[in-house]
Amino acid sequence: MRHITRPFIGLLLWSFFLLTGCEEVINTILDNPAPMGLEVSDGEYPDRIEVSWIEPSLTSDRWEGWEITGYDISWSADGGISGFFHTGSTSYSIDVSIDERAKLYDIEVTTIVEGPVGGDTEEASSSDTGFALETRELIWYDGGYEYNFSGDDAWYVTMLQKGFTYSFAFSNGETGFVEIYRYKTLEPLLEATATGINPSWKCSGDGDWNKYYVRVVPTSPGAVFHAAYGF
Amino acid sequence: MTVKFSRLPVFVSLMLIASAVCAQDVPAPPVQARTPHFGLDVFVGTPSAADDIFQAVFPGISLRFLYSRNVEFSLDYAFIALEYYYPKSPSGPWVGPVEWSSVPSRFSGLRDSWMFYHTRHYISPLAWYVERFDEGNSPFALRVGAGPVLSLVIPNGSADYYPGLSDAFEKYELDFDIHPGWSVAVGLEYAPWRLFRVGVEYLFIVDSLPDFVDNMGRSGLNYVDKAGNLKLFMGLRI
Repeated sequence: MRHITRPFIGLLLWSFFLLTGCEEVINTILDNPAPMGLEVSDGEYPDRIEVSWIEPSLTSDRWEGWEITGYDISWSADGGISGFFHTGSTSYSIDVSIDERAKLYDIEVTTIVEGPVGGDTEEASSSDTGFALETRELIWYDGGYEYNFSGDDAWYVTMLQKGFTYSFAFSNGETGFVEIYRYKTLEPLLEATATGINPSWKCSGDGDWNKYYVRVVPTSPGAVFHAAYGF
Repeated sequence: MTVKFSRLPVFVSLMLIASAVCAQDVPAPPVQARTPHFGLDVFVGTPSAADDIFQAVFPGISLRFLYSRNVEFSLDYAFIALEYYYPKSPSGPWVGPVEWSSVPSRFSGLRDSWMFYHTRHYISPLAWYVERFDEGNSPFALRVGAGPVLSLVIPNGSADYYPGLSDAFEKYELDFDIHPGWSVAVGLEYAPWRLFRVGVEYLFIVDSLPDFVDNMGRSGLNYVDKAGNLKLFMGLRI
């Protein structure tokens, strides 16, 4: 029996680990009241980051008589961005201004629990990262298509095929560069920054189901560019 | 030399052999502690000769509910095909659906990451009558089922970003001549153990009654043979 049980327990723990993530496994094993199932939006909204979690269970003997009094949410990002909010609910929306878009926020949610004896409190937290992003869709028409925008840069969501070459030809003598990011991340692919009048990139794969962010950055604000696929 | 065989005679032969075996004395299985109520079958089917939904060998699963000793209900699912599209040039047009072997060699090596495809699926809820031989003491049973069929085409999300591909998808879906229809299945199952089944089944799909009458009028039993699929299955009962 033992030789069957051990791999089974191992498989069960491994599945649990994969499904819930390292931090939650540790929190569960330690029986601490950290928020469960923390979810943070990754670029779904241009003006906010949505944070939500599940109320932790206080059903074990250790927490008999204790109750949750609320949650502290704190966040920070490059450029001196930081904030704090206390709430009794299990979700919160962090407002993000135009200048603070496309910046990775470190977000921590802390549960505050109060014991049966007056004054006794304990805290436990979960953390994740998220960001706000304004995106448009980059469509690959046969023979190419001309896009334009007025700001310093523009973020697009698109799907790219490994082995295909994607070109972004600036008009009016403009130059600039193009960065390719994996979808729902703010980490540019190292090999995927193209510069010049006609930046182009041969897709090497590794996208999230072939989905990517493309950031187009002209040398001066506003650009017209012709996007086309080839092979 | 090509050896041709017909599905219907093969199936009928199997049924006759099984009936002969059933006619002999078979040791009665031990008294059952509990009647199973649910089942899960996995199956593999042959393509039909006619131009219907199964044009290649297809795998599938069947969830079964054993309502009574003679009546069962199932939900059958089969994966029919993965078919590809490709652009002839960066200016289009797009070609497809085709098998990967027909995609130009310049794209060879990209099959694992290729995102221009659609998948086709078969779903059919069936009601079954199960006749157990020798009052249930024989390990053999004959089953006859019928129910509606739904055939689905699911394009990859890449069509949202490649209008040429989207046009090719739409053209295919317009030409896709498999509409919701009906399936009829006749099968023989063998239970070597109480909770285990293996068997063979003949599946026949009818698009519509007028279509069926028309085809039968023209081809007779030859149509049944050409349009039928032979399925081999094995499954558990709990």
